[in-house]
Amino acid sequence: MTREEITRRVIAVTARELGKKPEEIKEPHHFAFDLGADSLKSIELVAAFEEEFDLNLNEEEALKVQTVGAAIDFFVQLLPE
Amino acid sequence: MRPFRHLTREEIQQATRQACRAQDWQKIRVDPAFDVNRLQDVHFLGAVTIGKNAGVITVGEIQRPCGIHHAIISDCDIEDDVLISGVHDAIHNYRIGARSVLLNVHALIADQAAACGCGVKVSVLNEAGGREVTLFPGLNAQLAYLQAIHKHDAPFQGALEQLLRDQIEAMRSAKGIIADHVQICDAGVIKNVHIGAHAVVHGVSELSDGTILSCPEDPVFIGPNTICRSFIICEGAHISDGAVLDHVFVGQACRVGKTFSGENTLLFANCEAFHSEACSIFAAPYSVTHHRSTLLIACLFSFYNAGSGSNQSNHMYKLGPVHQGVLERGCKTGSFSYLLLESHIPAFTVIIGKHMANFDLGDFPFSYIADEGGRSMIIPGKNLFSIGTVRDAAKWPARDRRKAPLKRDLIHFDVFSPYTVAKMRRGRDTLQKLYAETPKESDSLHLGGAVIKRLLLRKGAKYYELAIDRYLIGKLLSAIEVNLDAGLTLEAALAALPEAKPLQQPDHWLDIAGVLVTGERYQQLMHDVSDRSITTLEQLLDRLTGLHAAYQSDEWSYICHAFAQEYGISLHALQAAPLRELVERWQNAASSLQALILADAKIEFADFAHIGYGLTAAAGEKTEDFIQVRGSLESNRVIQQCEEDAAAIKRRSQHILHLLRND
Repeated sequence: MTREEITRRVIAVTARELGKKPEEIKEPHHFAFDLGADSLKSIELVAAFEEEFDLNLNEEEALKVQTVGAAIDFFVQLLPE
Repeated sequence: MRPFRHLTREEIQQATRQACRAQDWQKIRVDPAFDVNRLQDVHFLGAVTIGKNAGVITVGEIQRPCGIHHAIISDCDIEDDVLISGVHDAIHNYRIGARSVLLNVHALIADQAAACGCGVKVSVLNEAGGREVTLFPGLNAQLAYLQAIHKHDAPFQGALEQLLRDQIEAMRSAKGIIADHVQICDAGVIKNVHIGAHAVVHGVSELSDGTILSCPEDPVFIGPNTICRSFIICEGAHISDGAVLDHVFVGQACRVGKTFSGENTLLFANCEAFHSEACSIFAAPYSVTHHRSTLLIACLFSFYNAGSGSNQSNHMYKLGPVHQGVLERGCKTGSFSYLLLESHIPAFTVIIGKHMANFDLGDFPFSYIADEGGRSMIIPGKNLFSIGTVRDAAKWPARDRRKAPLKRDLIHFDVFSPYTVAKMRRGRDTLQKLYAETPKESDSLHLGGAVIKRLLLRKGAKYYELAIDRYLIGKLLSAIEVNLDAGLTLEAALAALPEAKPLQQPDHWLDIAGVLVTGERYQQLMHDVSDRSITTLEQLLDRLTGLHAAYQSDEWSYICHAFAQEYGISLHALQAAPLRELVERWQNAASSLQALILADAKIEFADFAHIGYGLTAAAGEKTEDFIQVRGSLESNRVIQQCEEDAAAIKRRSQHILHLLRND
C-alpha cells in the first residue's frame, strides 16, 4: 500500500471515529491533545485502524503512536508497498 | 459455684450509712473479700451477687478504685473489680464481667432470656422481603449468602432454617452479658445487648437488641452518638460519630461512622461505611462507601467502591420497593452514577454516569459501562488495564485489618481466577461471534441491555484473549519453572506437575460472597444440608472452610481443562517447540497488558493533571508545584513498579526459553 493511500485512510478513519472533517486532520495532530481522543475513544480508534488495515496490532507498539503522522509511519512500516 | 456470703449486720449498717438500700439484704451475696467501703448510694433490687471489689481500674488515663456508686442494681451478677458509677435509671438482669467499667450510663437492661439480636431477620437485596438473612453470632458472609441467594431450593432452606433455630435457641441466656474488661461510658439506654470482652462503648445514644462480639485481640469500639438497633457487631469493628444502624450486621474490622445510616444491611469483613446511606444491601468483604450523597440500595456487592452520589433503584416503583441488583466482586460506581435495577453487573466493572437500562452482563468482566448521550455503552475488557484494578488487587489483602483469632469471613483475593477467566472465555466467544455476524455498516448493537460499538466486539475479545493467555500460560510457567530451574528436563518437569482432578462442570464457578468455588462442590454442599447430613451450623461452617481450602487444587484442575481447550494440547503432554511458542505468546500478552496499564498510570501525570497547579508560581514553575504535591512520573512508586513488572516479564520469558534450550 502506498504512503498516500495509507495517509488517506488514516485520516478518513480518524475523522470518522473522532467526529471531525478529514480536512481538519493534520499529520502533526496529537490524537489526545489536538483531536480530543480520550482513553475510550483511543480504544475505538485503534480498533478502527485494525479493521481498516486488517491487522491485529501489538498493543505495546500501538501505544507509542501518539500523532496522526506517527500512525501513518507506523502503518507504512507494517504494510509494504 | 463461687463461695458467696451474705453481708454481715455491720456491713449492712455501714452500707445504709453510705446511702445504700436493698429490697431484701438477704438476696445480696458477696465475695468473701468484698469491701463494703466501695459502695455508695446503691439501691439493690432482687438477687444480686458482687465479687471482690478491692482493686483499682484504669479509665482513660486515670486509675480509679473499683466499687459501685450512685446506681440501682437489679438482679445482677457483678464479677471482681468492677467500677459502676452514675447509673441514671438501673442496671437490670445483667452479668457484669470482671474489671469492667460502667460510668455515667442511663440504663442497662436485659429482659429475661432476651435474644440480643439473635434471630433478627434482615431483608437484604429486596426491601420488600423474600431474601431475609437471620442474624446470629457466628454468621459469616458465606452463611448469609446461602440464606439470601439460594432461595429456589426449598428443602435446603428448610434444613438451614432448622440449623439456625437450633443454634439460636442454644445461645439464649437468662441474663444479659457484659464480658470482662468492657468499658461503657457516657451512654444512653442499652437494652437487651450482650457486649463481648474488651469492648469500649463510649457516648452511644442507644443500643438495643444486639450482640457485640468483641475479644481481647480485636476489641470493638462503639463511639459517640451512635444508635444501633437489632444488630450483631463483630470483633474489631469501629462504629462511631452518629452512625445509625437498624437491622444490621457489622463484620470483623469494619469501619462505620460519620452519620452513616444503614437499615436491613449486612456489612462483612473490612467494609467501610461513612456519611452515606445503605438500605437492604449485602456488602460482602471490602465494600466501601465514603460519601454523603451516596445511597446504596438492594444490591449484592463485594470488593466494591462507591463513588460519591452512587445510587441504584427501581425507577418506576409501581408495586412497591421491589428491586435487586448484583454487582459482582470488584465493581466501582463513579460519581453520581445511577443504576436501574434489576441489573447484573460483571466482576471488576466500572460504572460511569446514569443508566436507565436493565443490564445482564455477567459474562463480560473488567468492563467499563459509560453513559454517552443517554446511551449505556459497554467497553468490554477496558478495566483489565486500569492501574486502579492493579492497585486494588494489591491493596485488599494488605488491608485485612482482622486481628481476632477466628477470621469469620472466608476470602479469596485473586482478581484472575477460574471464576473471572471462565467468564472472559465465554465473553470472548460471544464477542467474536457477534463480530463475525454483524455487518460492517452497523455502528453498534445491543448487548445485555447495554450498547456496544461494533468495533469494540473485536477489541474486547482481543483484550480478553490477552488476559486469558496471561493467566493460563502464566500459571503453567509458574508451575514448571521451578522444576526446570532444578535441572529437570521438560518431560520430567511436566511429569512432576500435580494431577488434575476432573471437574464435571469445569467452567462453572461461583463467588460465594468472597469464596471462589466450583459449581459441583457448591451443589454437593447444598445437597448435604438438604438431606440433613449436616446437623449443626458448626459442621456447615467447617464445610465452607473446606470449600475455601479446595480452591487451589480446583484452580489447577480448571487450568488444565481450559489450557487443553484453548491451545489444543494437554498441558501434561507439551513438547518443547509448542511450549516455546506459548512462552512467546505469554510474553506478548503480559507485556501488552502491562504496557496498557503503564499508559493508564501515566495519565495521572499528563498535562491536564497539572491544571490548577502553580497558582502563585512564576512562569515555568508550574511543573515544580505539581511535582512538590504529586511527585514526578519518574519517582512515582506505582509507575516504577509497573516498569519493573514489565522488565520482569521479558526477563522471565527469556529465562524460561533459556531453560528450554536443550529440550
